[in-house]
Amino acid sequence: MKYYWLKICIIVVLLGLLPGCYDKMYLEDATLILVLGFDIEEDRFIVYSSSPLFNKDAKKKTEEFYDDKPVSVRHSKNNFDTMSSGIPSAGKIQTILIGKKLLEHGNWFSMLDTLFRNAESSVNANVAVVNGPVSEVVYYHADDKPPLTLLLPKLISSSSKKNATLDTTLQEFHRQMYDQAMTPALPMIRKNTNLVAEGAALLNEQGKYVTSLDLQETTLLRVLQRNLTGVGSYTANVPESQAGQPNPIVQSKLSVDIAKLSVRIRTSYEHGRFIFNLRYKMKTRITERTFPFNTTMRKTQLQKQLDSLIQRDLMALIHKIQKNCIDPIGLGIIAQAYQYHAWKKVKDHWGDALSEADIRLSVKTEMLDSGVLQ
Amino acid sequence: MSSQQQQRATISNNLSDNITQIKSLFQGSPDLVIREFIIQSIRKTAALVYLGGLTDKNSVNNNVLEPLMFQLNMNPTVSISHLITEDQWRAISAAILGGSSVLFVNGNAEASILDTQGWPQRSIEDPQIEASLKGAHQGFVETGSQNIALIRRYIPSTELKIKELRVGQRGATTVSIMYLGDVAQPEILDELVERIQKINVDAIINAGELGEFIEDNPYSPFPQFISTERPDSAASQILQGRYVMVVDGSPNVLIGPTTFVSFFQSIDDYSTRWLISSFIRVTRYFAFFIALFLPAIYIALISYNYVIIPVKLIISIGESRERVPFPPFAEAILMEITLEMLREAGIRLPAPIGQTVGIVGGIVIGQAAVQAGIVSNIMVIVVASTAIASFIIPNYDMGAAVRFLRFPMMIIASIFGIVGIAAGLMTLIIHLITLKSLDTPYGSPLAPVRFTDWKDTFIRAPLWIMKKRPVNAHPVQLERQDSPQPEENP
Repeated sequence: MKYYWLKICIIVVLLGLLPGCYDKMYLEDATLILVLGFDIEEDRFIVYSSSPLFNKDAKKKTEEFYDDKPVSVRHSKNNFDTMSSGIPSAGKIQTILIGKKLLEHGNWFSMLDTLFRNAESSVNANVAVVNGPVSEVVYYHADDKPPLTLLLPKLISSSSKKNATLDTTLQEFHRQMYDQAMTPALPMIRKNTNLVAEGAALLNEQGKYVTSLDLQETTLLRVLQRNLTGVGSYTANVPESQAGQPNPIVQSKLSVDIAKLSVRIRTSYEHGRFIFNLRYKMKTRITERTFPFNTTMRKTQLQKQLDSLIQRDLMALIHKIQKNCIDPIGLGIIAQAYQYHAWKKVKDHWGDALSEADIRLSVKTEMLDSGVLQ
Repeated sequence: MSSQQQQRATISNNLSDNITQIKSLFQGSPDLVIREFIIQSIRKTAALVYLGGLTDKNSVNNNVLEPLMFQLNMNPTVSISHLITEDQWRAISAAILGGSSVLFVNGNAEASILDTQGWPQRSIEDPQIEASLKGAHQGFVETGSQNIALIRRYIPSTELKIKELRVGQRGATTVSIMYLGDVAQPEILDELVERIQKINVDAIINAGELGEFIEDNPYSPFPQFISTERPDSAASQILQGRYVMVVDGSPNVLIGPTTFVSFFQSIDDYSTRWLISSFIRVTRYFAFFIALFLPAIYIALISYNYVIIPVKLIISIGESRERVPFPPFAEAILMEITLEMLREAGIRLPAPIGQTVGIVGGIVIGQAAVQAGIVSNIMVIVVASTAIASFIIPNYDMGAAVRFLRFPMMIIASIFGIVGIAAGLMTLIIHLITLKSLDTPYGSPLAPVRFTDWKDTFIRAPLWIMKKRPVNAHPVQLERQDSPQPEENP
């Protein structure tokens, strides 16, 4: 006990020397960048940001900045500092918006380098493509809606939960970009009168925009990716000849929820072509049927019909993907795993190899129930 | 005592000499009563000496004076249960000071000490600090012998041993160490007795003072003896093989050796259903961390690590922080000190005024403070949660330790953020496992790990599972019981 107080004094002095407090920044002094946007307007790279405003009296709860002469993304953070009341902080980025125009330029991905390099910046942010100018979305403000900083992540995550769009975090996007066995797919939004989620945008290996998918196709893409969260809803037009009596007013529609999905993929390499054999088994529930049909008696017939409908739509999607020489499904990962030697030869242009591949698909559905009616 | 050293050690057979001696001994004690009278039957002068306030007047009048003064048979008897004869002045004066009355008879070189104690006493009441839910509603009182009796009622066994020691030059306070002779570890008793005998003070007024003289780690904020005012709690600890120190004059007894976790156990746990009391016990540990770290976490999050707060919360915190002119640390210190002042103010106030403090306090740490722009909404919630959490810890001393430790944690969080809190927690754990209570590890059964004791640590297992006494107190007889599990009806 003799040196007790001496020890304490030494500890206090040593603690005082530690540079612990250099990154001290009070929350209210920070300008949290929650939305970061990149776009090209009039051939100029522009960085946008949107931050919540910590002020009760302010009518508008967010403040937006743009930098139309950025030296780099990192540099524009400093420029935002001169514009905002607080110190910009990238630690809480929720959404990263990328303009379609910028995507069409390709080779833009290296601009994001600072987001991955800095430990404090968030890699959990959602990445989304804006179909149209990013400024429209960033400056979107509606009195009857929550502020954009909260609205955007909610919009994307809720529609992604219903499989209507994708949920790609910055880290996942990074992986998709660097994985040679697949190409990235990003959710897409656009501003009509309100902000709406619009399915998915498919990029090629260089990050260049290739094509887009609508909501139904996006659901099917998630089926193909074996990445269905919860239930996937699927609606198809039923050819009238099979639907019994034709109805002049209501189109014959059959909607099902895909409740459970199991997939078997076999791959082989023959005569310079990859062969994929995809067998999907689904458990479905009928949620809508707008044509008369005796489900109890002719259940098997309806199941078969549903099989062929889903197979038709999935095949259409696969053809679309093959035509564009991309692989958002991740079939390359399977090829890499099972046919490594063949895959290794084509790994630098996997999209082209996939476009020549022979993809066979079979779908088998099982109807769990046809709803509480009947 | 030393200044008035007696000329003689023993009494003489001359009554008037003895009275003179007594008077000189008790100079300046107007409450000393010397009643001279003639014992009728043997026709001898006698004197009854006692201290007015400390004796039972009824007993003196009816059982001593009346038979001696009026009975005419040859052998007058006093009807007093406890009677000893003594000729040493030292013992006689101690007896008078202890409330006995002493009878001097002329011609007798021995005096009779009559057990007529009757000092002002409080009746046995509900414990005030440790309210009882299901246990006994008797609390300890200020008389050591009564407290011993209260414990004996629970353990009517000849194995319940009492080691009596006197502490203090002037007070000569009786400290009775109670333990089970065939269960408790004798080495701990030796250690305890040795430490108590080393105390050299005027007097021990309260049990807490005794604890401070005999504890192992005087610089620790953590209590190393359980202080309780409930006899059922004390009896249960004795049965676990621990030692209970009853300090005469104090309504609290000290229990040792203790462990950190024993401060989170309440005697009511054992009479509540085990699932429920396990749940409550987990809540207590949770509350311990809340009470210790919540303000520190608040400071760390607002000053450094706000990135880990969910976005929606960050916006609402940011909005309420925006109006506050102080940095988070100042804000938190301000509120926590207000809370501590409020609590301290409330403790010593009489109940009618105590309510006023509650109302006034509600204004200070409430919406009014937020509206005035002094603190943020979240800070009010943090302070309130901390207050609630620190009340959950069943032991006052441990609660006080937590209240105190909160402040260093806040300071370190304001300098180093979350990393500082982690360092603080580590320091705390290191400190806890270094502590000892009567040379037994304080961190047991967590460090050192004693799995058999875990049945009564984070959960309270059914009583019929806990077949062994806690290992920490090193009981000689480890086996506690062998009750079968109650049979379930098919």
